[in-house]
Amino acid sequence: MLYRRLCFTVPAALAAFSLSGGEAEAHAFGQRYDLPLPLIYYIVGAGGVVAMTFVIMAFFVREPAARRSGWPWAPWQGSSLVAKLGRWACGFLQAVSVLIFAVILFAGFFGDANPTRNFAPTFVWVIWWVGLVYVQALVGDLWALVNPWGALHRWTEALIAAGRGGRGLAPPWRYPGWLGHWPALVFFWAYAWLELVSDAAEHPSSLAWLIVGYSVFTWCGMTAFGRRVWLERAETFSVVFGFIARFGPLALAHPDRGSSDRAAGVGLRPFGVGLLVDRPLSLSAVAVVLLMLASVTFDGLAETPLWAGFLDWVVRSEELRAPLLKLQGAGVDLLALIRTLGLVVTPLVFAAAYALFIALTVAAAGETLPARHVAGAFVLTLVPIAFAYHLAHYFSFLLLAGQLIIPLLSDPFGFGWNLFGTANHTIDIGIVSMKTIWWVAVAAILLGHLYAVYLAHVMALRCFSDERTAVRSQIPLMLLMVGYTMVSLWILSQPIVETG
Amino acid sequence: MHRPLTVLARTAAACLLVALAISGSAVGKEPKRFELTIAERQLAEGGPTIKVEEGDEVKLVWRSDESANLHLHGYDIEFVVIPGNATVVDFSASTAGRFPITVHSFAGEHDHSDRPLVYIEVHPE
Repeated sequence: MLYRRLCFTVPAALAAFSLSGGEAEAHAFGQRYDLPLPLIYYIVGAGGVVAMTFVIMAFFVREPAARRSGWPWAPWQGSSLVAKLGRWACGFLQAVSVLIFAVILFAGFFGDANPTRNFAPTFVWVIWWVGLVYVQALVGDLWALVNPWGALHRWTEALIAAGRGGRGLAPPWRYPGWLGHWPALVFFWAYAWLELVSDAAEHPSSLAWLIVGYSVFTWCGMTAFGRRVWLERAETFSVVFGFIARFGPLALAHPDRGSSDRAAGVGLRPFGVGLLVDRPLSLSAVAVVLLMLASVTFDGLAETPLWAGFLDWVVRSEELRAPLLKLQGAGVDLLALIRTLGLVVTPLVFAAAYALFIALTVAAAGETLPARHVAGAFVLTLVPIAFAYHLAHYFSFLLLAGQLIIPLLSDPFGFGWNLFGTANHTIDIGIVSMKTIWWVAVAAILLGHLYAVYLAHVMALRCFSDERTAVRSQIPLMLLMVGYTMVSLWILSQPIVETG
Repeated sequence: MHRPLTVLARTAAACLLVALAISGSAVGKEPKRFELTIAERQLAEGGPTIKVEEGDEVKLVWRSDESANLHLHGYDIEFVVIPGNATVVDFSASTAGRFPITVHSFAGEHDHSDRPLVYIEVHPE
């Protein structure tokens, strides 16, 4: 992880190798000071997970309401006042978003080269990438409303249409159906690589160049195939944040998706209900969701003593010594290479495990339901577990590293400004106590598991013909969910070992 | 009607006594002392992890064969060690967590690795 690329506790055997690549200038930038979850929290959490699974299986399966889907609830639908207010709020948020986008690019190109004195890395990696996940999951799809690429494209199109007497630009091509969400998958992997392996994206100027590159690609895509379809299927962050936002209670209509009266498209629903899909997700969407889950887990896994031990084993291994030395001689950053392999293998393991348990589910149900259909129906029910782990893992990080934005708001470019008088704010590490962090972690893991198990049950009742089959079909998926939650809990109980 | 008030007063008094007892013990608390020695740019004595409890007074006594700039992260304490004399760093461990002490420079030259020399683990009570 790029924040944690701080050190490598070098065992004696490592003397021949240097697994650390490049200089780590980013000290104190986004460091975590967490203590691992103590054993008692781990035991209580693990016991709770298993107990909860059985309680839900025993009591909640006979829920006829599960078959109904009356959500979202939108009593103000069609109210012109709400629509007007919504449009103003929408326009305001978009303007703020585009302004931040401009500040990030300017800071990246012209600001201080030190990541801790530049607005761009902290905003992108801490506030946007970690912070926005919370907004998406706990509120709703804010990103769909404020996506600066979408907003700038919409404004440009409106300008062109105004200049041509109302005629807008029609996209020259149709988005090919077979392309599905695959572009989003490819770019999400590349993005995860930047976050978890490379340290390029923490340097303000390289970050700015990467953003420019992705912007050009996105604008080309939207112009070529149409903004709506591009944002729905290919734009990585809209796709990923969109899946996360399905957990949130606000069902917001996408500015490009709803009717002309877009701002009225606000509805309320209980947490998690949005993850119950009406139609099974496509294979590419399933792949994106599994990659999201795997990358979050890999992020934590690569800080455990287990991973450090694995690196140590690689380094000590006699068979690998010669090829590794050769690679290092050729200028390959070995640590980055191993982490890259980890980022390839972890999603494949997730995909294989998911495929296996889906096959077991189909077999257990004994109905002739295509496995692809089942895989697409259930994959989003795993999202609460991933979100819970993300929350447990990043809660203190957001509260501590998030404070870096306070001085940066006053001096975004490192020019020595003090716009709001907060330029000298230093991080207050006492903002949240370790015990609170532990309780939040265990509570989040338990709640996430509860949601996942419950949603999977509702989904099973919808998918399969009768209750008996639904319950039987659930056993493999319950095992998968318990296993997945346990892995999350176990990672949280491991001391953080920084490698890299 | 007086009863709840009496209970309240008693509770307040009890709280006050407990608070006094706690603060009294805190004042009398001996600092926890740790000897740390740097030799050849490595930690030769002490560490790699120092464990204390939240609320402890901590005294780190440093010796080094070379001058070095060190930084205790989180608590954000920067200090210099020099050969010959012991450097004493006092702080109260007010916040729980795991905090690295990293080397910023040895003998005036910037240390790029920024590697932790030692971790201070402050455990909640």
